[in-house]
Amino acid sequence: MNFLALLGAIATILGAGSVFLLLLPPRTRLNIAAQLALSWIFGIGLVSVLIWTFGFFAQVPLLPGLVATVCVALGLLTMKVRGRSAGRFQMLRKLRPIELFLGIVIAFEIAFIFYFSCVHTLGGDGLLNWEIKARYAYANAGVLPATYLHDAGRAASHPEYPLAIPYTELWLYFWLGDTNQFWAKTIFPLFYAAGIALLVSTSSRLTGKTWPGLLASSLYFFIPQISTETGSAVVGYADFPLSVFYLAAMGNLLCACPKHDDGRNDGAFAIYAVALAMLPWIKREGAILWLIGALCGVLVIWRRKKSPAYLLALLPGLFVIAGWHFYLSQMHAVSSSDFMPVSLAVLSANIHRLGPIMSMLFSEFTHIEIWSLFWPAAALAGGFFLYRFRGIRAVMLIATIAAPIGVYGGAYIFSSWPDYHDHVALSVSRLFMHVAPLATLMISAVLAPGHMRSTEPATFPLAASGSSLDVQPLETCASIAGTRIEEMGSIEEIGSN
Amino acid sequence: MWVVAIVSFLALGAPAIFRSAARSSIQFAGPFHSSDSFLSFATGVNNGSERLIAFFGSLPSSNEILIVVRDDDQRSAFLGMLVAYLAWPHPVRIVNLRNGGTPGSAKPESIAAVAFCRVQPPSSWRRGERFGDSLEIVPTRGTK
Repeated sequence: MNFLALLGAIATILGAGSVFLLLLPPRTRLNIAAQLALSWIFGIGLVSVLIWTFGFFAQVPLLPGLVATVCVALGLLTMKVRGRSAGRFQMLRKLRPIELFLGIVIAFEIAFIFYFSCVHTLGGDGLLNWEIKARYAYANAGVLPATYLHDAGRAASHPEYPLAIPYTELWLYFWLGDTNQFWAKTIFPLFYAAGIALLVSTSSRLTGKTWPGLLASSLYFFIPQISTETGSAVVGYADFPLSVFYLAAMGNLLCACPKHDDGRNDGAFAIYAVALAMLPWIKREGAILWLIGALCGVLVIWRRKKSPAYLLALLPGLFVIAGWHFYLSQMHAVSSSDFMPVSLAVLSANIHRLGPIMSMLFSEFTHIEIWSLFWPAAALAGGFFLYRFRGIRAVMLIATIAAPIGVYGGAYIFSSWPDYHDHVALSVSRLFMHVAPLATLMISAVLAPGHMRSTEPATFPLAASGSSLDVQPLETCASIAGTRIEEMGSIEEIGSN
Repeated sequence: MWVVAIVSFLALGAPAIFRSAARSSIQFAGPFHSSDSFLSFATGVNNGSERLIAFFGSLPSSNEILIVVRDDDQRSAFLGMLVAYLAWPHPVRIVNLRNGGTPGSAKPESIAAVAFCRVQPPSSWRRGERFGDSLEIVPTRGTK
């Protein structure tokens, strides 16, 4: 019975999220895994926002009924608008042996992640920062109690944190008919599966080959920090889901900035905009990632001479940030005191911390017990990447990995913990997770053979410029889109992917 | 070079992953899967979540729970947060002994109970409800 309820909860999330696939041009063909992954992450964002906003005027049992109705309606709308192509998902093309092998490995790894999720408890933060909100909201007819928001005794549970993850757990509780810490964990392995699907899909679109993305994704499982350590993908923290949204946003921005844009990548830009807008709704650090992602978006709009109207795509994220802060201020929500107010006086008083913080960040890069050789490999790949793919996208990908780490490091200068070393040591590995999928994407791009440095500024194989596409064999183009060759109509159609 | 890197990568990461898989098993899939495990670890009590919720349910819900912890003892602080988590809908107030914390503005008549997390209650107090060897909750007034 619980299992059926879970399926219902997951299906409605997917139905709601699928509506964002309508932003893609009609002829765009993403494979079923990528469609499901995007539907899942966008569904999480949308369902949690719906529960929160409908909660202002509705309570249980009306509240879950309303949200479920909207989810089903959006799913049906998607199927109707996209017609038969939406009803019949595009299946994966016929795989080469190496791709089949890596695909099977990844399937086993995802099964292991589900297993790890079952055997591990929620982590401390997973229970006391995130699930706590779902539990209290469930006990209060589906609405987070105002008394919780200004309960100073529970300030350590961060009442000010946004609600995407807790309200997704709440959505499961609505379906289960009770709170349940065990089943609440279900959403996190699904995030892992979605992240891997997006990683492979984005890598394929950028490199023109599927196996590098599959290989890098299969190795991703073997990073203990991702699979089993504190804060990993299975213990109910928001860091891994945040990393998946960040990957979706920046991966699609990379796909949306070919040198000669003729509008065919608007779909990718739209997906970037939606994922970007949801970043601040996942975790507080999402606002930092939003800012970095937005600056990259502005850079792309400016360098590629896109219409200024594209800047409107940044508004939803601003609206999320402003709306949430307005809500917190109106509710007089207490806030944890992990950081001091940012000011020049505090900065000058604590600037001596910078050296030790940098030293601890560097130690994290070389912490092979939890990261294996991931960060040294990423640093090496970064060098190769810049050498091979000089240009706006190379700089942008490196920046989207390095900038958050730099900002996070700088934030510790303002830590109000009695010993800021403890603050850094406790949280830095989880913060590094936010950019780990993008670093994996970079590694996969470097693994792909060919396209070595040339006298011309190098481009990604899927750049919309004719010259770049012309050198791709048709089979490779098929792998880019994850479709069968016979399904392709024209080069324009391929480019629109 | 990449082959060497991949093999090294697997050699360093895989043992930790599979050790974790080997030492774990699905033992309990109940609604308090995580909080019960934490309470069992911290106090030695089984089914601690339901017992605590039932106990707090017997106290007037509008009254505060005072949670006494030692901040220099991580397990005490964590146990205090667990108690706060389970004490809903009671308001809670954390009193940190190490920092010389006091109940502050709390009025004695507004306090439903005092939870001592790895802290000995004053000897002059009457004994409260014990949850294992490290958590004792002393009701200040009669139950509902």
